[in-house]
Amino acid sequence: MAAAAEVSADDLKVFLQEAEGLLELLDEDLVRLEQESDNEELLQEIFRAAHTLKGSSGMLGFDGMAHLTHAMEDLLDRVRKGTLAITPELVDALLMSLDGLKILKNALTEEGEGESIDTGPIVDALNAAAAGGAAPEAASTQPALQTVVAGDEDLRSKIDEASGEGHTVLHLKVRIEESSDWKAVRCFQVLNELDDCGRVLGSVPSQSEIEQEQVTGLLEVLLATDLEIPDVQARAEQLEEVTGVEAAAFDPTAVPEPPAETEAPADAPAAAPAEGADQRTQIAASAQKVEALQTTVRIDVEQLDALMNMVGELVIDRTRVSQLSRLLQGRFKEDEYVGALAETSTHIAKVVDELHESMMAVRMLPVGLLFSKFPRLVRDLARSLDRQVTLAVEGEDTEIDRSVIEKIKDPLVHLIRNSVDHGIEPAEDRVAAGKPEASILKLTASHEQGQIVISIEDDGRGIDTEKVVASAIKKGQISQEAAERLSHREKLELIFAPGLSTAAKTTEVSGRGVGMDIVRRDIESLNGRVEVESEVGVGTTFKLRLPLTLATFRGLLVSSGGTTYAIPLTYVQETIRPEQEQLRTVSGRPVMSLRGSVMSLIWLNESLQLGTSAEQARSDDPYVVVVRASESETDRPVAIAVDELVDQQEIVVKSLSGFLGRARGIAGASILGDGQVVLILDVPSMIKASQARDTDQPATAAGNVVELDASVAPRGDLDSNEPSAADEAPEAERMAS
Amino acid sequence: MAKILIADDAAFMRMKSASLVKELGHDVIEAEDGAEAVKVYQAESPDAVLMDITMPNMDGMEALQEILKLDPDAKIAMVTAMGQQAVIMEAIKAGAKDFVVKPFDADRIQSALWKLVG
Repeated sequence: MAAAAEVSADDLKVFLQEAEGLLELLDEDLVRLEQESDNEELLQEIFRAAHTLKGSSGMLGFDGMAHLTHAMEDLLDRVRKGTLAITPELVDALLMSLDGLKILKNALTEEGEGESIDTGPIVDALNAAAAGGAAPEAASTQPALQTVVAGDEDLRSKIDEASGEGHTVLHLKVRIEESSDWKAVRCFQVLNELDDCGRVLGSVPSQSEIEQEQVTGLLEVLLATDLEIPDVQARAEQLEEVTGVEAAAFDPTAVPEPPAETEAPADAPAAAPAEGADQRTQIAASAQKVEALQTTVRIDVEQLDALMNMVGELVIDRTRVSQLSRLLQGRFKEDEYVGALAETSTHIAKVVDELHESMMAVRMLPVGLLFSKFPRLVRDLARSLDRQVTLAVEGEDTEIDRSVIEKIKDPLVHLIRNSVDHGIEPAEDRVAAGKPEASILKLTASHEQGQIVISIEDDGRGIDTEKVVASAIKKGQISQEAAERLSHREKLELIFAPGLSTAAKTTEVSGRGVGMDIVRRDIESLNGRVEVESEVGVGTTFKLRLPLTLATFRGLLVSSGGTTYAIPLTYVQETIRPEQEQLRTVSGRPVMSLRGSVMSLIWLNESLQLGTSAEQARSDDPYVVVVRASESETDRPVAIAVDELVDQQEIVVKSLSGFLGRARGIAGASILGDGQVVLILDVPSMIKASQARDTDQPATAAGNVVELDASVAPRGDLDSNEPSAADEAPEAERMAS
Repeated sequence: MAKILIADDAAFMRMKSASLVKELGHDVIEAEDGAEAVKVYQAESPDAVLMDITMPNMDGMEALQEILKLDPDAKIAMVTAMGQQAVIMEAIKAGAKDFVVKPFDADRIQSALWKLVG
């Protein structure tokens, strides 16, 4: 930002708004001025615009802009007083100043990234125009091609001949990617392509120069053609590495006198002619870039959400229309109108799907927007904790739905704090452990199977699972016996238990009462998951798995007790129609055996406590949906028994009003095409609730999937745990809500 | 979907280009040298050709000219390594529509083919 430090955001905003308006005004007026040179009102308006800009930019300390507008004002003043005539050169100089102002203004906005220019040459050009001299800039900016034409009689007669035959003679400036290794070939291709549009009369560099690979990034061509300018431009632009094609009718009057006769301009300003031309091209190019930037539009987030909502409605209606059309087709096979309706509905479906996809894309933002805040965070943390940390960020370009980005900020900050505070050791400990003094904290975002994965990886001391377990036992979250049966992974997972802290001491940075349980809850509320891997002495990695979008998902529709529910397909492993003997009750718990394993069985109606008794809730002939929170070993599959499987379709998430919002096991609601309301199951919390029931019961805890082997899960063992099941019930409820 | 002839003497390059082109949804036929490319072109009339320049029996330049004799509208893109600017200009003069520089990526092949066969 070129803005002076003391300019407040509000001042800047007002200034930019005003400047934008004035520059737009100048854009129109300056061109008009050339044609309406005696329009005093117009001149006055232009003068005022320059004057206003001068005043406000000067006040805010934007010296370049003030300097430039001051020179413009001087010049315009002289025109106003009638001491200076409006010539094309003068308008040129003014337009060039306008370009300069646009660049300067843009440099003050976020998008401009501080790109700035030297206003010196522009001011020189203005002064030269004001001096009313031979307008040296105008002469010096004559493109090379015109000089060539001036010195080449043969070429001039070719031009005359072509015009005589009724062809248009175009002057094209074709820019080739500066970094191209193939400039000569590209120029050659351009000449070839243009020759197809008519007849190439001449070029700079010439064909033979091109063949000898004497080329720059600019190719100027004289083309005799009958095609329209845009068509010719399009032909050249479609070639690889052609970055820009300017085209205009060739103006024979602009051909300067042959060089030998050129008189040296009297009082040329300091800038050498070639340099001036260069500067000018540069400014024009930058100005073009600024224009391009302005083709993006800012949209209010609320408006975007409203649009998304409407598109959501459309998606719902599309499904309904397709259904109805199919229905009609079945009923009136022969009817031509029904056929036409089906075709239209197919087309609508296609368009709506595309609209939906584009809408999704519009909502996407690069995760780098969020990541860019972390270097500062890590630096400050590292300083206050006396750690040496290098933050390595990867995958900043990965795009995520903006609503997701907002919601993962706090969890990420928490995880990063944790890593720097608890994970990474002080430098001397690291050296003692044979590690490099500075630790590396790696923050990575990537796509993985339709999900976004964000990982935070440190090379710190790792999580000591024994300490975690000890803490959990002390807090009464798990019994000694249960703890002994946990795997390494399951012990690690205990860090997500509410109220658990492994830090020996709480510090200023961490231990502010926001625990890992909140992180997990936040992420799961996004339909995401948190995974942790850690090895003592090596480091810890947290992985957040997030959905691409929150607005829609593929869902499996099931019905139970007359209500329709949607289960996000990401959780569904399989659906089966079990035999009666697969469904059993083991120590008071419903379970299902499947291919040699036993898993917890949830009767959907019972679990949601919809007021039906157990007997009513259990269908004699249920379908079972096997769900799993993740592929991770600790997430074992759970069976959900339902009455019917209905369909699979795109589900549009609607936010729940307050009273349903806290319903246990329900994540949200949606409306189907036929207007039916469906409830979206909160699968992770249902699974957690079912696992929580078992937490303190070793046999069943290990036995969300128990090997179907009586010796492993002896009946007596199961029975002996029965009493504690009741104790755990409140816990289960709490966790699920 | 179009039928694309890939002419390259190096089996690995052929395999790689073929898999790229197939991924883009086109059919692929192959030739191991210039002479074979001409023969295959005559027999199969593919929609476009990716022609390596350096090949035994008949090089890519010659094959280009032969094929254009058979079919003046043939859509041929030359496949070349760095530093062959002069040859490529020759090829374009002779009627090649485009060129692709090795090592190439999927995007480049895609845009070249898109221009050749739409």
